[in-house]
Amino acid sequence: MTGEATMAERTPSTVLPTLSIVVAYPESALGGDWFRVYRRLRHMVASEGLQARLDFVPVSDIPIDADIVIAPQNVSDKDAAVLAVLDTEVLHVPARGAAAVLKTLFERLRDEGHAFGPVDDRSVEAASPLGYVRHRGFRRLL
Amino acid sequence: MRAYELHRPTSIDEAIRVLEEHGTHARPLGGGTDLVTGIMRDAVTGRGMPYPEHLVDLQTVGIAGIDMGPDHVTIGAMTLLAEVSESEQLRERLPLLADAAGSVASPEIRAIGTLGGNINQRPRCWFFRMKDFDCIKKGGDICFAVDGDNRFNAILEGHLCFIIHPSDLATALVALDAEAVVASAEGERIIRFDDYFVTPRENLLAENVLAPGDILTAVRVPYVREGMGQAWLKLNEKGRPTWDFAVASAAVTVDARDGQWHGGRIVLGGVAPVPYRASVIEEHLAGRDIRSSIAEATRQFREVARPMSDNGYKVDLAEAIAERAVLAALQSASATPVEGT
Repeated sequence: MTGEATMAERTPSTVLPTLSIVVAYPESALGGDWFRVYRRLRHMVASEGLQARLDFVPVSDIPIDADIVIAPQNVSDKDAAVLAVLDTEVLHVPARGAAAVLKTLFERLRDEGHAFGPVDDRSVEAASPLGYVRHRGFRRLL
Repeated sequence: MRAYELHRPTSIDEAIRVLEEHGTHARPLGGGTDLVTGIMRDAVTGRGMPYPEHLVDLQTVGIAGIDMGPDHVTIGAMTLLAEVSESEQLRERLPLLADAAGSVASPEIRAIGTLGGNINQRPRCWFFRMKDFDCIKKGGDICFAVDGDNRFNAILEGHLCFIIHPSDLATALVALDAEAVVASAEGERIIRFDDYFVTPRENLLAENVLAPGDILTAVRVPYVREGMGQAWLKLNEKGRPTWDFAVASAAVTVDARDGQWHGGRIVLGGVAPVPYRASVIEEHLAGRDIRSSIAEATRQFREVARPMSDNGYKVDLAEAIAERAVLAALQSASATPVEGT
């Protein structure tokens, strides 16, 4: 019995996420640093078990049911106009130094009672695909 | 290859209108040697770069030709590479540019390919070019070159994506401190080639600052000053001149006085996602005798290069080609035509 309970605890939640977080990038201009913000957030969602749907789209394609939009700090006037009329929360995040802002966001989501399920190891693995290896010069960074 | 709609506008304004209307689904068409027979034939698509369903042919808008002005030459973006290469006036005044144009691909391709198309061609990286690899530049998650066969990839400024910029003309134009003339719905603007190309850190979706609806209409190249030398060298993987894309190339302008470096530019191609200005070498040469300092100066490149597992040889190649190009430019200095003559 104990073993079954442990297995149940480990089983990832099958409840569909109700929270929708969208990371938006400027039209035709996706900076490498901003892509890393998205990857960081995706990893945080998986590693902390936040029950949320995460999308990564250009500003013009933000879905209307988004709950939180994460956008770069400096956007063009055209993109700013699109973001200004959204009926949702827009969080402007610096491309560099995003970690602190995202950590604060997750703390807030916990305080607000958003669902954090058990950590799905498979999701974490998917967020950090095996085989991604970095080098500096000839030195392999593990 | 999938079907596409070909637009043949008769003016720049009309071309801009079509490009604006279709956004990222439309692309300006030069000679088509990269876009049609490369990107479209191989169905290279991804995030922010859908298959071009609309091609806007710029042959009919009148932006070709070489105009030798008093202090600079203006070359239309639709000027054929063969015309740039074979222009006697350019060979006399800007041999660096003519040599770079003459080193592009084969005579057949130079007879079709255009200056603008060469500058704005998509990057070289076989993972990017192969449709089966959903690489980071195409909306995927990883750069396959990092852990894969990266012998031809960038050794500098990769940042998540290790493409190289393949344009020989781009490398030459940065060395010559040239400017791009860009037309858009808002009007015409001038962009220095120093600011024209962008790294993956700045934009993973594009290699330059052009937005959908922008058209490169011409380049303006100032004549090199009296006493300055210039040189172009390009090597393939066997270390020989080639019809292929550069594994390493160097475009150099040198302002030498009594054999000492008093200014100039050393720009390397085939080593980074953008034409790479080797400031580290220039700075080391400043005020020094070029012949006796060049070997030590080019060694400084080793400090900034970040090769991957299989492309460390490019560091040696870049050092060697930079050294040879600087010495060739120095040698040509005395033969450079005097400004205004």
